[in-house]
Amino acid sequence: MSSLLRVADLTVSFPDRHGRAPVVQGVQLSLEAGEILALVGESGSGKTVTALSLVRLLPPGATVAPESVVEIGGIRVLGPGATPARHLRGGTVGVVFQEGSGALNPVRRIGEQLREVVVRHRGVAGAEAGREVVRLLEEVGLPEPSRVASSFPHQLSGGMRQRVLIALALAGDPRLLVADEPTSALDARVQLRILALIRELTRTRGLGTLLITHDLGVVAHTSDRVAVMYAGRVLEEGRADQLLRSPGHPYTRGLLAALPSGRQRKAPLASMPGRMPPPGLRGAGCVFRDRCSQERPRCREEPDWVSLGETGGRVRCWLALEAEG
Amino acid sequence: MSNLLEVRDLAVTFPGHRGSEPCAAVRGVSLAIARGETLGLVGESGAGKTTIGRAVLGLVRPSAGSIQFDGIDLGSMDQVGLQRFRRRAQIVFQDSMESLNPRMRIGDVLREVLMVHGTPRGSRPEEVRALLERVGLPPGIVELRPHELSAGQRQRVGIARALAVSPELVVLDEPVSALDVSVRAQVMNLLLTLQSELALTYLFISHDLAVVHHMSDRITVVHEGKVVEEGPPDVVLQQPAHPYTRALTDSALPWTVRM
Repeated sequence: MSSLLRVADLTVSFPDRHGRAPVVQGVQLSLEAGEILALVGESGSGKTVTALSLVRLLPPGATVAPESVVEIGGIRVLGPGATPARHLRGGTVGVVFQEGSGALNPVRRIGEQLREVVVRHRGVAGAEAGREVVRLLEEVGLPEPSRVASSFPHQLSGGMRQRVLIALALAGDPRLLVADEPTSALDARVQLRILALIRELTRTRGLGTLLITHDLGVVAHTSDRVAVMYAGRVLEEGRADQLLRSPGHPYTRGLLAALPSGRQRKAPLASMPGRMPPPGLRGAGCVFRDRCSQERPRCREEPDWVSLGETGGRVRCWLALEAEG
Repeated sequence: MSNLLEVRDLAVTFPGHRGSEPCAAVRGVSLAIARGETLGLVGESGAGKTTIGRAVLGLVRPSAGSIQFDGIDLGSMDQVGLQRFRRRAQIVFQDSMESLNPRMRIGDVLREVLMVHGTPRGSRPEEVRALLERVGLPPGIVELRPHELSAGQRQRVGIARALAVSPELVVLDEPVSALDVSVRAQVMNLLLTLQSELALTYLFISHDLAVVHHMSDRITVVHEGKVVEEGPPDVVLQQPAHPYTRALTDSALPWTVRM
């Protein structure tokens, strides 16, 4: 069976002072229906650019390398032989952005904004479209959906607005849901409820959900699998519980070690020296080697994928190969 | 140990906008911070954390209650007294992009603070160099503007600016919330080092329980403008007594609080 989402050799570059610099390089991902894949990384890792290229929302100036392939539901939407996908965004793929990012029109009622998508992608109109709007608001757990439909965005709380954004993403009946930092602007208690909703919708609708986040807590709580991005590349991927319990890449280990453990208050945290190299200054070889405490001469070559045991986890690091013997 | 800061029954009410009800942001908050100690202030957005931090610095006027800094009542200070107080109490904001003038070079940002607080012109370049070294920034950064810096570097500039007047109290308002994990650890370590080297007193405002737990000697939990619980970090966050604190700790995701 083919995956719901398949990304292969995705390379996206942007112009810089010296020509073009790749911001995403050779990314491979796959996602099944009913599954949540977290794409986790720090700012500048390329996670959002990866997500935007799935829905062709890349800003002007971005160039996608010709060998890049994206297939959704077996249909090639990017790469050689891709079919023009007019129904892609809002249809096959629903996108949820961060609350407060301006995704809602402040001067139009919630119901009108939802109805527009319903009419456009479902081909229904009139009273039926109205019923569908109410049904969608109900599905995302909003009480009094009719009242919400006649409200303006500012009359709702942040958590309610985020639910509306999810309803908007669902309005075109998508198969793939891309959620970019959907809870980063919310308080902890609201965040938990929104994450629970995303999990429930993924199961009940059989969606494939790509969850973009910088928060390892969100990853641990919500996702089935994780891909860790750094400096434009995926360095490690695997089952969420497995990867967070025994990270295989020195970068993932460093990230987890840098979190306060709750044990030694006011003691220095393990922090990785330096910072992520900006695009254009990411030389050949492993992109993490400048900050890695276990750098080898071999790290000047680009590492291959190394499988970790039988759990499907894999890592792009020469050390893992050494450990295997 | 003597208290550097004592807040008693603080209330702050903002006037209503266009005839709407006035907003009681802080409703009777008392807290005290001993010299050299870190008090963590936690709560959700809208709880009043930031307003408390600003009132402590005299940036918003309390509608009731008193704030004493080193035994002197803020409300009784005249202009000269306030100017002197502002050298002793400083603030670091969350968003260093918004709190730094985008047109000013980093060197000018720091020189301006030194000028306002009366450092002689001749010794300013040396002071700037020393400040940058203290916060772990290279001297060449003086020529750059905020947008040319990484988020972590900008936050170090924000810290350097606060330290420029050799303060005793620093209000840290979500100082690491906008930073990525690996940079966040670096800045948290810097804040801890500075505290022990310079004997600083911190009011550490954050919504992140794991961060507050790590940085604080005591924790105060605020909800709807009131203190609901107060005590040592291990007690407040591991055996919370108040239902609101329990709701907060129950909502914390794994790896956000791993205790």
